[in-house]
Amino acid sequence: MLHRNMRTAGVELPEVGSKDVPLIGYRPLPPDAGSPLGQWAKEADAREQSSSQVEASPMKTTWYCPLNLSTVTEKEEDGIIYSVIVKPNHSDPNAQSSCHRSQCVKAGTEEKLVLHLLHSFSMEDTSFISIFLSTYRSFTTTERVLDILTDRLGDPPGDSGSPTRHTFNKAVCTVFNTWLNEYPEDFHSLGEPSRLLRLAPLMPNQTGSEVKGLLLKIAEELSEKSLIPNPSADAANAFLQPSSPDPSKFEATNILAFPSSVIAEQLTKIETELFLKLVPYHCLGSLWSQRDKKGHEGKCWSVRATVRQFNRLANAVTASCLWQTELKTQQRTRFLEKWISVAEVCRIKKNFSSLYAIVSALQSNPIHRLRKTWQETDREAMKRYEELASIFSEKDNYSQSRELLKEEGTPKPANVDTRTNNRRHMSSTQGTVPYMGIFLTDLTMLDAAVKDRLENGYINFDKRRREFEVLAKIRLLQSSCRNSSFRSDELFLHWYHSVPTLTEEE
Amino acid sequence: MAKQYDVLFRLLLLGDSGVGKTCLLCRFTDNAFHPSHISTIGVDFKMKTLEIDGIKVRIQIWDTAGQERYQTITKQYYRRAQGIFLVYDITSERSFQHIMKWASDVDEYAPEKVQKVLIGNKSDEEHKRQVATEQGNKLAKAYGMDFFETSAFTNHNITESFTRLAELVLQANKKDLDLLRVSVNEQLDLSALEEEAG
Repeated sequence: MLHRNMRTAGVELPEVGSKDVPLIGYRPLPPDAGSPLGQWAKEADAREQSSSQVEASPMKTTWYCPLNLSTVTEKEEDGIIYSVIVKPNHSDPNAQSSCHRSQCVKAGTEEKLVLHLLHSFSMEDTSFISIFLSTYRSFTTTERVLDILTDRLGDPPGDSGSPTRHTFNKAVCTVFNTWLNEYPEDFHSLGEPSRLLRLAPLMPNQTGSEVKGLLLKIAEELSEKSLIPNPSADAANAFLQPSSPDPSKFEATNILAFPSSVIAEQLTKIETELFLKLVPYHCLGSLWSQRDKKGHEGKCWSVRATVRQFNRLANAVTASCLWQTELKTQQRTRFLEKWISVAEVCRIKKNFSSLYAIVSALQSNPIHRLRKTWQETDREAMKRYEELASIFSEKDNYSQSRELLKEEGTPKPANVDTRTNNRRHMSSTQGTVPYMGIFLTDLTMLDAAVKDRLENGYINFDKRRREFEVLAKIRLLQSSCRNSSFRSDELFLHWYHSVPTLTEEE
Repeated sequence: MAKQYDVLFRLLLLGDSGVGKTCLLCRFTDNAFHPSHISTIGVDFKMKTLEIDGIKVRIQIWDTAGQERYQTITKQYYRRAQGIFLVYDITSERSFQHIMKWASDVDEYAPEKVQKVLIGNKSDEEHKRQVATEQGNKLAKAYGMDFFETSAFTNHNITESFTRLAELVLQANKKDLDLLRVSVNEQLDLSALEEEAG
């Protein structure tokens, strides 16, 4: 955000401090127009004052600063539209009339959006790079983005050694460092190295040497890979391996022998590992809602893996409760009570995915129908079960579940009421694994409800910003899980993988 | 608080991902949809009141778009729905074939009295059509359902199909209407918030 003192209306921008920064899109109000608040500063041509610092691109700026409200205006330049937010700022005693002014990209052409990656930094549109990198796959491809950036790098602005060039080089490094750090798979999945080989030499000499090295290394790997036939599909395939356990070897009752805490810990281990492997952009509506289309079978594998685990657990709950048909009611209640107790520990471990899988399995028709069994189930357990189930009520659009995730999204122990406190025995940090379904529905709906493009054909970047808000929540939860560590319990895992898939013949 | 509706129904949209369920819903509840809600409370544009034969019918529409693969979750919704849309995409043969699977799930999990309507969506994309109108008709007949081809894009048959399903549900529940009103009173409190917003 940029503070702008309208009184001193000179060229000094308090937080930027240097005239070296290209003033793309900014022009201070003339002093006479600036003093009374609420006055309009009429359209001003930024070119005359800052042409020495900015490359020649015609831009027009319109803004006004009203008394109390922050205003959102739009500013259109060649191929790109900004939302300009102006808020009066009363915290600065030196200025009678200063404004908080920020702008962010609302929409633009593919080319301009890509190029804005290099400008956003100096324009203090700090979140642009993150939003772009996490959502661009919805409106363009890695190849296109690299091509546009490569062309730009081949023709950099300003003279070598000039402040403009310096800023530009810095921006280039920021963009590629972020990209390589957060989405290295984009580069690794390019298929062939020619783009990287074209790009790498264009990196700025000193500051960009690290990026250059990385790009060349990946290019080398790509060339090697192109010689060896297709080992790359393995990563995705590993998740697709179907396992068909032998039903005759399944011992349903064995589950009763494991302490609930062990079961919950193992489930949380599995869920945490899958959740950390989840690629947030795989959840975007434009990708996820198209997953059933032909040719999209391998898409969104990281999301599919979490859903598969959810279904597998729900199946394990159902199967263990119903497997032995000759059980007495009383015996069967022990299974229900067991899973309720596992669900409780999952709640304490903030493993909402397993918690919901268990609860939804207990609510499913085949188990729901076991009237007698439910009647004989321990009253206390029933009460706790109902409380746990209420977390996932769809009332007010899952508001309870959403609120809870907000509260519990940090790597702190779960905030569970005192009754269960004595059950706590865990490390000081505890990651949060969410039920992904609500995010998936939100993103699917966002995608369906908000248009991809404006009427003039520009890519609607505001939509991507909204999607990013959801993805950012997912990423925050992922980071809460990063320090979790678990022990493996082979005996339980063996049981878990021996559960056969139950059909409707209970 | 004045009662703003007489009965409340729950309708459910089913069908493969990508057939346009959410777009249908979006279109139908157009006025109630505020994009600004999306990031804060999630998208929630699922309520609409219709007047049928002088009865104010509040319909709550469940759309599990994005969660289709969570089997135990979606099936729970079946149990509590009074009306179900089975939606396919006329430009996707595959989504049409899957209707049988969705229909058999409904038979299995939904209450017996549940009313069903078959929807062939994206009727504006005639040039990409893979499922003839006649095929849709035939299938609907075989299952004893009403059938509409709709387009969320041109708004074709949207209101008609929702109204039709609401009518069917109303008819099916006519005898129990008084009984239903009692149970609806409980719902009134639950949906008080939406009432204010709507």
